[in-house]
Amino acid sequence: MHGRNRIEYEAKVSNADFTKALTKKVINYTALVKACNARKAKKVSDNETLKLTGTVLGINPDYATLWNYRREMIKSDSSPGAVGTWTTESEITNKCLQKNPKSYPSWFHRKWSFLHFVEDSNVQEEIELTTNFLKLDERNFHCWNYRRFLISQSLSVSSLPTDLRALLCSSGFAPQLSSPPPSPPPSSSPEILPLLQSELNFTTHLISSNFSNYSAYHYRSHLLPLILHLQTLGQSPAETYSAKLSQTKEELKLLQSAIFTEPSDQSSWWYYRHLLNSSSPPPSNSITPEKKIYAELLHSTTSPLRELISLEMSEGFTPGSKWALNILHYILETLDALIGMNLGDDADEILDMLILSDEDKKLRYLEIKNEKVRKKTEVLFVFQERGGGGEVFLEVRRGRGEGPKDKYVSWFRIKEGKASRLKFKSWDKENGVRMFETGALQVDAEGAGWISGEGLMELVKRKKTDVERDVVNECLRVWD
Amino acid sequence: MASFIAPTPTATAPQFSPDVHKQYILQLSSKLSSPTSYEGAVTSHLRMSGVYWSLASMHLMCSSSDANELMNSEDILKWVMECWDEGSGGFGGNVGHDPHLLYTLSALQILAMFGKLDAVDTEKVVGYVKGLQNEDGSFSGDEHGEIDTRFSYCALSSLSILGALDSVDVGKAAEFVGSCQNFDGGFGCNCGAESHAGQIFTCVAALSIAKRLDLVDVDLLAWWLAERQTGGGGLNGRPEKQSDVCYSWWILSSLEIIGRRSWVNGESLATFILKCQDTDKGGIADRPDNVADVFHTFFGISGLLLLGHLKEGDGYRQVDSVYALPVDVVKKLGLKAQVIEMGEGGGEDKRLASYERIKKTSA
Repeated sequence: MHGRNRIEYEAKVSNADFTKALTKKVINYTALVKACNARKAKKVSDNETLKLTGTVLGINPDYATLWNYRREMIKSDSSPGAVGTWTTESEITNKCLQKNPKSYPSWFHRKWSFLHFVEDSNVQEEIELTTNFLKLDERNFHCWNYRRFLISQSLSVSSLPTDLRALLCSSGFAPQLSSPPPSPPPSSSPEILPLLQSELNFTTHLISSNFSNYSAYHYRSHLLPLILHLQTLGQSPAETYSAKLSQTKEELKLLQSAIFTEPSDQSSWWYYRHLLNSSSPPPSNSITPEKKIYAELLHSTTSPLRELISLEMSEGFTPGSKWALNILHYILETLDALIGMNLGDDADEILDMLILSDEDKKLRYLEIKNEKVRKKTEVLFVFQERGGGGEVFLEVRRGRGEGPKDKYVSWFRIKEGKASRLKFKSWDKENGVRMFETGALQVDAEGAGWISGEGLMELVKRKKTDVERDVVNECLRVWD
Repeated sequence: MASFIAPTPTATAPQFSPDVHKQYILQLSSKLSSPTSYEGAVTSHLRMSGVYWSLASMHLMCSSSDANELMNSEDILKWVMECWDEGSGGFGGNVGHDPHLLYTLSALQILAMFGKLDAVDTEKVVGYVKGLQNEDGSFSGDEHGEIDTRFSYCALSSLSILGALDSVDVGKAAEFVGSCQNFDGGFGCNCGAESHAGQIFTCVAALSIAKRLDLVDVDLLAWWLAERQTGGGGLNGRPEKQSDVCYSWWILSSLEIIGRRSWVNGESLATFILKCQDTDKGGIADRPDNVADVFHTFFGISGLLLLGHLKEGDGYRQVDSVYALPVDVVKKLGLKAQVIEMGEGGGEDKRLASYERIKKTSA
């Protein structure tokens, strides 16, 4: 269905010989399908039928019902030499996958056959098969999924103790099919760490030859925490975190080359961000030693990033600069939040630059910016015109700091969705009257009101939480 | 090829040509069922989905009654019921094909557009779907046991359409989908599988139906999805892959459910989709200058509707981003779902107004 050029295709089909051959092919195929279905209706189960289905599947690997039929035939008679063997099934799926490496039912049948003929199938050979298929297309997720399934078989995941089994399953090493037959208990305790390490090395090899291998990074994102967990079993939280950071530092070395060599390739950047994010220390109200070392690590990434940014920006706003700026922004904000390194303004500048240069994503950057402001923003009081609808008066605080109070606290009047700032003059606390340039707000035990040249507007007090985000945004927008 | 997105002048994009696309759809059936059609023969197993894509495309371009009349709804209805397997309760992809969740959903979607869900033995179909849920909350596609998050979506959507969502353990179903979340905020076919825009749609929509969008890292996922937009304005399904019209649906609908459709450049995407039309023979292809097919036709039209490039007032019907059906069909059936409150500058969206709205989960 995908990817045929129209002009080429039209040229092809207007060729009489081609159409003649194709018609012959269709008629032949249809006859084969008919023959299969006739046997299926009679529930025929023999090697001849198996072969017939194989001929059809070799032409159309996605014909799921025929894969089902094959499985039924295989299941119906488990005596040796009966219909279907590991050899026949691996051969047919191999043929089909050569033709269509993305055929869901073909991969599924291979997986099913591997389990059904577990005495005869060879897990190492199968892993080798996936390595070869990945050479043809390193992004084939069907192949990666099958490989993970094979690793789970190698590890006899379903025979492992509950906790370990759950851990491996949640890291992607689950059987991927319902009610798989139980694996025979392993003859010796399976070497989990070495196998996972070997998988990690496999991905290192792939990434080193092509930084654009997102699938390999993805696999690493599951392997690394699993390996770390197994390596630090029984260790203290401090030791575990220390090991985590060592692992991260090693990963960063690998990524540094990727980012600097091909900054426009987003694969490494997504993974880079994830690495830093997943290495954050346990939360705490104080500045722990863990927070300090993490901050050091984050900080150490900033200079190379700034260097890369100036290199990239010398050619204009390139994709590389976009990614680097985004990640630098993330790092600076994280540092600020973590230990108050006062890099907030720096981060804001970067965000403003991104808003101007990466116009397509403007709304994303604005959301980040506004959220940051809103985090420090608080509605203190809100009054609404009595009778519902109508006008709203609210007092808003946006952060704290040095300077005149009205930089951080102000009253606003909202009329028909539009905000205007009320210029504060004085507060008669005793009588509950706040004087503004355009009127006075009176609040006492009986109620509230806005007194101005237009007369008295009765107000009712409302809950702070009733104020919509967009109203707050409006106030922030008109503040200065 | 990563290149910076330059604004594409819409003057160079062709107009949307509904008439020629309607013609394309109308002649599909006879074309594919011709005994000499190779394409017809090798896609026979998924005909139920093909009919759904055709019918839905027509429905989005016409009124419901016009669409059903043009498409010979009587004949289709008869055929759909012939694909029902009474034994299991599921629907197959074509007559003589084994039942499967994929085609069960497509059949129900077709019947929903006809307003003929009462033709179905609800109890049996519900029983079929229910029987396919596994202990971990996942769903198998059929009795053979393949697990994939696509089937979670097929199951939950089917049951929701039949008004029987509670017949399965929705909580566990959502938990399973959640377990398929990756480092980039995206989702794959099963736990440990790489994020892919198509799978992301099925997972996000499933979580929407299950009302567990709190499991989604909205900021991260919306960003990842937005970065699927390439230099030509089109969207790809994963980093460093080619853009394809079908992602206009998978991604736009996902973004809409999580409230951040405005994070992609709508104008250049619309231009890309329009360029993928075959304005002579009709239909929409995966890429400009390629052969059209009904799959890409449906997703291209849906994409243009979600972008607001095609408007209701001009004779089109709105498409629902959770159920992939005309909005009026979804509303008539009273289907429920959940969405995330719109991001900044997102504006209002009446299409999703009847769905439960929640705030995004903050990191």
